[in-house]
Amino acid sequence: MVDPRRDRREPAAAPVAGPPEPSFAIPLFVIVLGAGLGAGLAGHFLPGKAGLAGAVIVALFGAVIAAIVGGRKPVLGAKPDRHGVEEELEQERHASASAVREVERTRRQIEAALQVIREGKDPLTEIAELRVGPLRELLEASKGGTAPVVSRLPLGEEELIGADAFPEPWPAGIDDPSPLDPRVRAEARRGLDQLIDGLSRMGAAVRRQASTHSAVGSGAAGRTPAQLVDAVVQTAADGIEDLAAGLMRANELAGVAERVTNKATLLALNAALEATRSGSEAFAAIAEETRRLAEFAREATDTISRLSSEIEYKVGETITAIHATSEDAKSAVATLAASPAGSTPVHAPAVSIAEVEALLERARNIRATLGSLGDAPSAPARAENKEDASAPAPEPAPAEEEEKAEANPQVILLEGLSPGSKLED
Amino acid sequence: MVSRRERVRNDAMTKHGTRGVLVFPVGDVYFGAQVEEVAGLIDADRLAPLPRQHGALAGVVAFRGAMVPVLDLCAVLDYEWPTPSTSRYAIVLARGAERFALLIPSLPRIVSARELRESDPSGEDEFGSLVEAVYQTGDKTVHCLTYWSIFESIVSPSGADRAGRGVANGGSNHG
Repeated sequence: MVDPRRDRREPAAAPVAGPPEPSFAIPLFVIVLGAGLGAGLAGHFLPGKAGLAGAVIVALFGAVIAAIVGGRKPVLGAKPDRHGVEEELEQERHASASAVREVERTRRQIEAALQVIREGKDPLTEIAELRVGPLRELLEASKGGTAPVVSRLPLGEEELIGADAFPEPWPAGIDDPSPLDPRVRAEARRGLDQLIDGLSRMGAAVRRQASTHSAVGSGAAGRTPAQLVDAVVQTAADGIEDLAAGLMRANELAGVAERVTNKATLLALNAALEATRSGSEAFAAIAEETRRLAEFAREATDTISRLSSEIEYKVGETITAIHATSEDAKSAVATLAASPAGSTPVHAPAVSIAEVEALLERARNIRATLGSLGDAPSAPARAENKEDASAPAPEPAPAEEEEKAEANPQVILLEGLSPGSKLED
Repeated sequence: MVSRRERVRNDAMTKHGTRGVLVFPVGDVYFGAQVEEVAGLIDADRLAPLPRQHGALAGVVAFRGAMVPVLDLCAVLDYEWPTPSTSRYAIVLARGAERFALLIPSLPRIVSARELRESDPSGEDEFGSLVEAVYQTGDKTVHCLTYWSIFESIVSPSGADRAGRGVANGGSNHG
């Protein structure tokens, strides 16, 4: 196989200096002298412009002749210098050996850099030799995501295969990305999934808590907790006092009913008295019915009065309990306000939401980056990943992931080496 | 000839050895009036005061188109009214054409009471000569007083004389 790199490197070798060609000097001198002489004669013998044109034509003809004679190869029968050829060959051998050593040293550096990258570390930090070598710019550019990198470098076969892929940029903000180890990547992906789930649940919980706080605080803008307690207690007390007023009105109506009942009883008694006095059976029947009616009204009135009295008593107890609770709540609020931890309880959820959302967004970014690193490295797949970076990619099986890692390791392309070429020692 | 009314009343009185008594409490003592003496029962919330009234005379009240003097029984017996706002009732007692009312603090009840004894002239009873008869109903003892004598001793001499005659003739006039 012909190595095009060798052809490309030949001009860089030291030039081989040949002996001078003295046999061309005299003919060139004679030709130039003859052309000058011919031009002088033409200008002298020909009149006017014709003489000048003849001189120019003769001079140009001589120059063309001299140029043709000067461009010829030295094939004039001179024997090659053996000493010069051996020296030329020695210089070329020396240059070739230097180039091979340089390539071998670069290959060792690449191998060491790959090993460091597989361990999840920064090769520029770990290997001092790379900081001054030709790979430094490539590694820095690769770290920044600006340099093309070939997809595979099977160092065991000493062969570079086509640069059909570009590496993803190292995730920004990650100190130790370790994107190349499939097991580490799988573990990191699972951990990130769990972290995202936990943060999502935490965010939802904090959001609910914040909504509760905001619901409580929305109607109480500018009021202290003690004032809120007062307002709540006052509202309850007002409602119960309204209820008590209604009960008083009910008691008044019960009094009216009692008077009506008394009238009915009075009527029944009068009917009974009249029946007794007159001995009239009709009066006796009327007296009996009136008495029953009066008894029924009496029972109903007694029941109403008893229930009204019980409700009034309970309302009084409730009002007393509300006032006692109000005092307890005021004391508790005062104690809470005096403690350092209770200074800003309402604003804490908003801060927590922001922190949780920031953590969640960062975890999703890392997860998306890891997912795109572990997925197919082809250009269309990468384009899809870039379009939907936030959506978590489906997690492949570990075996499939390892196969992908074997098939698509990220290898840095050496400058000057074309894909598919083979290194030769 | 005994009228039908008298016959019914006597039947009621002798049927079970009991008679109808209008019972009302004053303080912790139950007093009563025989139903034959009672003309009616009215509210006494609005009593009309009399000029120069004093003592147990509480005023007058309208009863079936006639003015009836009202005697405060609590004042007579030196009891206190339970509460000033308590409803007041008046039992109108009738004796012939004469009527007067007893002011009582609560609604009375008509009960059938068994007569324990007649009046006790010895004065061993708590109310002495004021008691006309004592009845028993359930576990309660009911005292029937000589209301007419009390009234006549307070209101007018002529009325008191007639009341005294009524008491001497058997306690009460039946109509």
